[in-house]
Amino acid sequence: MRDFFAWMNETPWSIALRESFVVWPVLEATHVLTIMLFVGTIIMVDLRLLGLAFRQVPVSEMTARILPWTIGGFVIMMVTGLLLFYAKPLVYYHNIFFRVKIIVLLLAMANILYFHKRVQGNLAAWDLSQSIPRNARIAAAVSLSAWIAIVISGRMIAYDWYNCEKLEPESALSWMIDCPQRDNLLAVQMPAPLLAGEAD
Amino acid sequence: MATCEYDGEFYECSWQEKYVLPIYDTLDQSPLADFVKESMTIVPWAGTFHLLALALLGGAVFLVDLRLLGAGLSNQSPQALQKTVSPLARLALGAIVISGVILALGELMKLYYSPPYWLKMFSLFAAVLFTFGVRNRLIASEGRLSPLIQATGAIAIIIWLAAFAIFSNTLARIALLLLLAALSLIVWRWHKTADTTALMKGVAALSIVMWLTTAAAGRWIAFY
Repeated sequence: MRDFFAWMNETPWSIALRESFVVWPVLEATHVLTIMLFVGTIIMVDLRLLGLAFRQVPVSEMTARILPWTIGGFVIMMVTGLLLFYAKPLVYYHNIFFRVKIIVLLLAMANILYFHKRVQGNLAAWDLSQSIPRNARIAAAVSLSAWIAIVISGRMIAYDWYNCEKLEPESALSWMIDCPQRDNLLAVQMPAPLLAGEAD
Repeated sequence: MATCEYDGEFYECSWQEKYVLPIYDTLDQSPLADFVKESMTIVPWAGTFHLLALALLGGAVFLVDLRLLGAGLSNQSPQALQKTVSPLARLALGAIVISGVILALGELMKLYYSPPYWLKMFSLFAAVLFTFGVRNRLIASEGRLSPLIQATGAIAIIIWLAAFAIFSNTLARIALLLLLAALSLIVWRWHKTADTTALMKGVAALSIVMWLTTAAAGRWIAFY
């Protein structure tokens, strides 16, 4: 997989994207700002399912009128996120926070699937009810915690504390993020300079 | 223009240099700023809370704006909705200001010389004034304009426009045009489900524009 991302890292479009003074910041800013739409609306739907807010609003109205905005936000997030990854694949591949973010993202998406398949089925029975089924509340709590964790790990990607060049070679963490190990350290090019001054 | 003094010599300087720069300079030398700058973890965590608060603020503000535009919870009254999200909006605003001050303490001198930062600050002031002083009051009065609402609205719009004109670049202006196009699309697509007056729709759209300007300018501080 690393070889593939190393190849991707050298494709002309990837280089052009990460060196662009306009396109990269625009993509990054769009990715971050979409948080207001995507995470913002998902928080509201989760708070409704947890019974902590909007108790007078039927759950079906939340999902019919607010979730389309969440999905729209998610599409923008995915498109800009994939392009940002394409611009610096090796940097993200070796980043521990990026890996955590992807794992939690997969968990959040599995949770969405679970909600649609198992929880939403009998929605009509508790649409306006003040007592929301346990599995719906659990799904909402998982969703809320997962998106918060994704925002935290996403923000931390910018910091280089655990980058390969700062880790002890052959340590557990170094192994976890697939750092080139001591014997072939010089043989593989590292994306180290890319992160310089990026912590903002 | 004003007159500044350095080492006994007097010279022409802008009023910002005379009155604002010393404040930033003094704060930057303070033990509190040193504490933030010396810590490895304060700025990353403040940045994280800043983002989480931004998400909550976005949800709380947009939910009401979308409702007014006909594109949200149309079966709920704007009054009830506004009342529900109000504590969340205040919580988010409080968290964003506190985390923002901590973030600022880490790079005060960079911020002083940063146009995106000043756009962000003035736009934030305008957005708070507009959302809380115009939009929410208009919702409470069911769309009836009072002189107070009009005056507050005029001040907020003038501050926002002036800040945008002074501190934005070509890219920001293009982005604003795209945003206005997207908002027109929303108004056009959902005008049939909107039971609000044209004034309230305009106010909701302007609230979205002001908050997005603030957030975008805030993010741009890092790129400038």
